[in-house]
Amino acid sequence: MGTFFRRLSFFALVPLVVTIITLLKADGRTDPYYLRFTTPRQSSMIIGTSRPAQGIQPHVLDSVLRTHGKEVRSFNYGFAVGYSNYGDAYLRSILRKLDTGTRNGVFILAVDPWGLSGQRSIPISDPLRDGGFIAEMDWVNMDPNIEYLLTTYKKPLLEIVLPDPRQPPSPMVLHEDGWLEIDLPMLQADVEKRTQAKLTEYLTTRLPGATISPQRRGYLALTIDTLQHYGTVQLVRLPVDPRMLALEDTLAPHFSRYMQALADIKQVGLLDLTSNGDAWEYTDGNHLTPESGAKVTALIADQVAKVMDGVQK
Amino acid sequence: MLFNTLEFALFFPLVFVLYWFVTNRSLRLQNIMLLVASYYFYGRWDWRFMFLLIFSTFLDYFSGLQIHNAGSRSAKRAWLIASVGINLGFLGCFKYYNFFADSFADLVGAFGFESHPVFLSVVLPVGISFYTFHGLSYVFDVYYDRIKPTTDPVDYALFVGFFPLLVAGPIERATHLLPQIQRPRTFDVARAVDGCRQVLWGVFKKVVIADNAAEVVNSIFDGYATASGSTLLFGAILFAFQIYGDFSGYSDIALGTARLLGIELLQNFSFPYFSRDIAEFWRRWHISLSSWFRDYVYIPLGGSRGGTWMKVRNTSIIFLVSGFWHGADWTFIAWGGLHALFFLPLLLSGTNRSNMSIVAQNRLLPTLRELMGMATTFLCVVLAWVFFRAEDMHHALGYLGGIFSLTLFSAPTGIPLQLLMLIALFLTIEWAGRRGTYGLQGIGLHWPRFGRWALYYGILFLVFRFTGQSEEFIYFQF
Repeated sequence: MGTFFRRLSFFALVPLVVTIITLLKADGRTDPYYLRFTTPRQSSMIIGTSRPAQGIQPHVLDSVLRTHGKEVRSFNYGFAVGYSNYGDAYLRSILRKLDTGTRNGVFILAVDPWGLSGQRSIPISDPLRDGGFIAEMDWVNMDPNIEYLLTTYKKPLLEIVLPDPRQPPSPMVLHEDGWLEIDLPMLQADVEKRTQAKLTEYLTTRLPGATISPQRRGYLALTIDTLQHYGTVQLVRLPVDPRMLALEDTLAPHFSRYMQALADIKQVGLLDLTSNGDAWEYTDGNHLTPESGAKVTALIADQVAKVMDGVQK
Repeated sequence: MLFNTLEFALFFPLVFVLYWFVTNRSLRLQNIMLLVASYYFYGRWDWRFMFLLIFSTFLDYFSGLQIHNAGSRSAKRAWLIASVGINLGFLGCFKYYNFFADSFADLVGAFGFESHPVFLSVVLPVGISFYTFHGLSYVFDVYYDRIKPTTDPVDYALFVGFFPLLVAGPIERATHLLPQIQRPRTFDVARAVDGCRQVLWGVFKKVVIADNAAEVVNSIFDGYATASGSTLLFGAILFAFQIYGDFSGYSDIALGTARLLGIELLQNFSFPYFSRDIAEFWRRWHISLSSWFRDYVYIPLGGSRGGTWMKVRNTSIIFLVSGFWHGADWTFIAWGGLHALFFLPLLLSGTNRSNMSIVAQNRLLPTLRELMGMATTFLCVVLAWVFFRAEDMHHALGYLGGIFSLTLFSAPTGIPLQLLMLIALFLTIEWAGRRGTYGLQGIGLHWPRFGRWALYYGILFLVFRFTGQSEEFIYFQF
């Protein structure tokens, strides 16, 4: 048996070294989520789907808050619709990522109808076993995150160090603070094409059968209650292209009013930026460009500073 | 727990060390440890269904003893009927109830009556078809005095629940596996090395061939309505490689893993796509299931004895039941029926045992006649796979209708060249290794170590470089 073990260990040495090097090479260009699971527990977080993931920039938030005399180190923990809708899986993941010793953190909770909706075909009594890989990730603060790379990473492992030459370089970079920067061509024709594609996708696949889910609303309330123990909670409804907003109004015509009522009950702030959607630029009608995102983040930071000072809720 | 996961990569070395280094002084302790590990392996999927597995295990264990101890033939028969009835009752309840309820509603609907069947909203317990058949083979073998029942519940529970075969086979026989469980196992370096090679080959088949093929197959089957006939045929051919890579890859990992624990499981595949006729295909595809049906259904029904009508009847029953075993859907029954149609001419003309040894046994390449036989058999199998893969009969017939259209003679679209090269490499290795029990087995054995290791590293590189989107093993659903 000794011979077998010696040979096996010797044979396994090369694949092991290659695997370790590959794992260590994973970074913000590996995929849109990996780095979010490699940082330590966080005291201030941005929560929501891909809109805040791309639209709210922690470094801008922190620097604007610093001008208000607030020292915050925030982290973007937003993912995408389908993974980080408000629900059991996402809340558990947030708690795994949260530094539970925090008492003066800042938590920006982005809200929109899609993140709070479910499908009518799924019975309300059905447990929210959604969240995809978010639900399955036990380790969210490990560097390198072996669990993520070996179980969730969708491409062959060696593509981390040997990218597929047939694929164009990815326009996405995930920063260490969790902000997902996407650099796409911004000619008007390109933007319009992507916007139309996004509108069609939402109109044909997301809207039919969708309804605001009482369970998700309950989980949003629970998320607010939970995070209030650790600091200031701020709700934000990010701006979108007016055509996308019209779709959202079809799904939930009184969404902003409901959110305001919830904010009042929970005594947290709500910043609704959907009223002047034309004022910002989007990559696809749904996600803010990095430039507009920076400006919107600055507005959010000003609002958070006021809330922290107790001037406004 | 799946074989191709990080969890299994951590689980198995731990079991291996406990098995050979900690519990190796006591056979009983070793078996208890394996049983606990097997139940953990199963429970990681859904622990609630473990109780069903445990109940089924003890039902058959108890039935075996009662059959053996019964004083009269009728009492033995009563115990057998009770055991088979309860086993099939569970299988029927979890796997087939909704199918029968739905089919009944359709039938009465055809006569103008309205029916509102109650459907069960239950998840199909993973591996239920496999462990039920393990148990049934045991009670049949005890009933027919082929084996004495074991009095040790741990040994029996391990026979049913041994983790490498628990969820997707091979379907073992008590006459083969139980004696291995009851006697001490010794570590054999050559066997362990062979086990590692078989696991490596199984992983390659699953994650490189099957998972990469699945991506293309899914897109072609989903968009079949607008695809050309040639593209649809290409999709069906790729599915043939997907399901073979998936299921035989799983079997290779299972067999290799068991070998590392000093246990030999039944061979489940023997290069089925190199078969020269359908009869040979069925001696090489899912061997443990085919032989199960042969021994416990076909032969008791009379086998090929009797007149032509008996042969046709028994063969048809076997293929239809085999199709139905795979799933509660008309598509699986059609798949089985189609294979029966392919098989019967061979049986009736007495040529079903013409090709008993592997093709080109003593030659490098097949003859033209053998090549034609292999191509024809493969094409028949591919067409039948359409029913197996389709969502329903409408989908299957639409897909086949699309293949047999004028666009069959156009160039197929979306051909993934990289995947085709991987399949070509896969077939080359399988062809070179066809005289062994798995593709890689006979290759490089006499090469210098440097050459052998280069081959293994090459396969490992392909696994790391071309891993497809992880798909659950197809046979888990059965």
